[in-house]
Amino acid sequence: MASRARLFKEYKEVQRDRGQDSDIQLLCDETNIYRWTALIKGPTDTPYQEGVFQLAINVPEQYPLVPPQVRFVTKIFHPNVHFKTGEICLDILKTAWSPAWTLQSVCRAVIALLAHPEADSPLNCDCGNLLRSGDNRGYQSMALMYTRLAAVASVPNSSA
Amino acid sequence: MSREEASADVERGITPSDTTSQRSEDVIVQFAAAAQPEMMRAAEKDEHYVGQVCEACYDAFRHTFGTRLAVAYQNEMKLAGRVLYYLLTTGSGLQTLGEEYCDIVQVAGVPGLPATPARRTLLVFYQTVLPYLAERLSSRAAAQGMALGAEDEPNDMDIVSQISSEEESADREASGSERLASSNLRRNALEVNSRSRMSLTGGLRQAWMTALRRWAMILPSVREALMLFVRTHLMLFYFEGIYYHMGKRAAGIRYIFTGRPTQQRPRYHMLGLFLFIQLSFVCGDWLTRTVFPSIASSMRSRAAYSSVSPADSRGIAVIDEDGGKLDDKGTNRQSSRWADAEAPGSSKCPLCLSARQHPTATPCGHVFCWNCVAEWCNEKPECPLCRAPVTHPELVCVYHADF
Repeated sequence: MASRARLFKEYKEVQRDRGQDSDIQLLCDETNIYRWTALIKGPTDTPYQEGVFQLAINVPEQYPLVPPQVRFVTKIFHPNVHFKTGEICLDILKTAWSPAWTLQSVCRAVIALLAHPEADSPLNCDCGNLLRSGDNRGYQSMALMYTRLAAVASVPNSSA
Repeated sequence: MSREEASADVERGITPSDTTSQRSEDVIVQFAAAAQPEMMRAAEKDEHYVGQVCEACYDAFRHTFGTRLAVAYQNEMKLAGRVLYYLLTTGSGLQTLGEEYCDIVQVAGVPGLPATPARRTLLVFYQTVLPYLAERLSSRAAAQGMALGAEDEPNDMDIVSQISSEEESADREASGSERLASSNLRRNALEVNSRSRMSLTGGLRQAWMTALRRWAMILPSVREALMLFVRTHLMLFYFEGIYYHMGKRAAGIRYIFTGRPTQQRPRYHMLGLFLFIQLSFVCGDWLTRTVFPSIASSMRSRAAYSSVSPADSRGIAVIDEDGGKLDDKGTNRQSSRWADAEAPGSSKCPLCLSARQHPTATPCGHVFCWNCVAEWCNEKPECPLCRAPVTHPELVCVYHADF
């Protein structure tokens, strides 16, 4: 019940701050407050900057004592995101979770992860290998290609 | 301890007191007056034994009549135990257990003769029944006054609840019976005063009502005055070392020391001096608060009185200090309270995002709800905001803090 109360609070906050943070758009499932969808804009000066990525957020009952489950719905080429499942490797979503994080701040953390890929703990090994071998250009072009293929095209789909 | 045991103990104590009375003509000069340490130790011992007797009485009553009645008549049982103890000891001309333990004997007046039965009965009455009666009458009067006040103006409730809380605190403070006895002596006198006033006005019910209400109003200040009086009495005891209990002062019963004088006994003049200093400060404060401004700006404060609603009698001190400023202060307080209500963001818990319930601080200084942070510490012993290590015992509930 504590999780529900807190999610309502977050929902209200999101409604109030709507439009202030154009990078993040948090949408709650109409019927289930434990299911959320987030649309995040790729950070500038990265290969993701033109894309809008959809995240599926599944909030457990014990929230905020345990982290929400976040995964990419939109395909993305990033060393810390599983290419097929969209799973995200981010410490604050696993071991370093703190209940002071909100869904909004989690989304911001994901954006920060897009800007700073961590090649040493890859979920996408191909991408990680590209970065670790120093082929930054290869990584950039691959990521840009997938952004254009999936994220830019998916905007009208997801918003429709 | 059972009653038989107690009385047996007392009987053993007969011997010294008997010898004292037999050889009183020639030996009396040799016995020195008892000093403060013995008297205080004896009083403490007595309190201890009285407590035991009271407990025994309460248990007996509970076993006979059931817990419900026993709880209802708790105070009466205490009275019964106290009366029993003092009747069996002082009342029957024996030493109390505490007095026997400390080798002191009650004597009356300067000649050093044992106290007469009448005097002893008076003492027992002073020590037991009087405090109880006074307390009962006073609290009943206050309760009636409260009921009247509640009918008249709802704001009076504040004052009355304050009174009752002070009553409780005063009771808790008055650990020894003598304090209660003394305070109640005074209160009783006032009670009688108000009653006689009533009879003078022809026993009009209206007068009684006003007396009751006034009693409820002045009770706090009466209590304050009584506490001062008790302290003055204690100071006198520290200086002269004759009467520790007010009841004994009233009955004129003092102590002589029959034991063997072993070493130099400590004197309590220093304590008396400290008490004197404290009392003089209190008196000075009171004088500057009430008498001085009333002379200096009696007109002004009177004007302030008339402008303030009579129900707000708690603000008297504020008015007395500077009558003109009360309004400003009052509105300030109110506006700050409004500001608090307007800005809940400052007191939000970052975990549940609601207003903090039982604000609890971590050692690193972050504040959460107790439930929120305690639950999180079960998951992980670190501060949710700064990740500093936190263990359960280190969590501190913070109350009465303006943040």
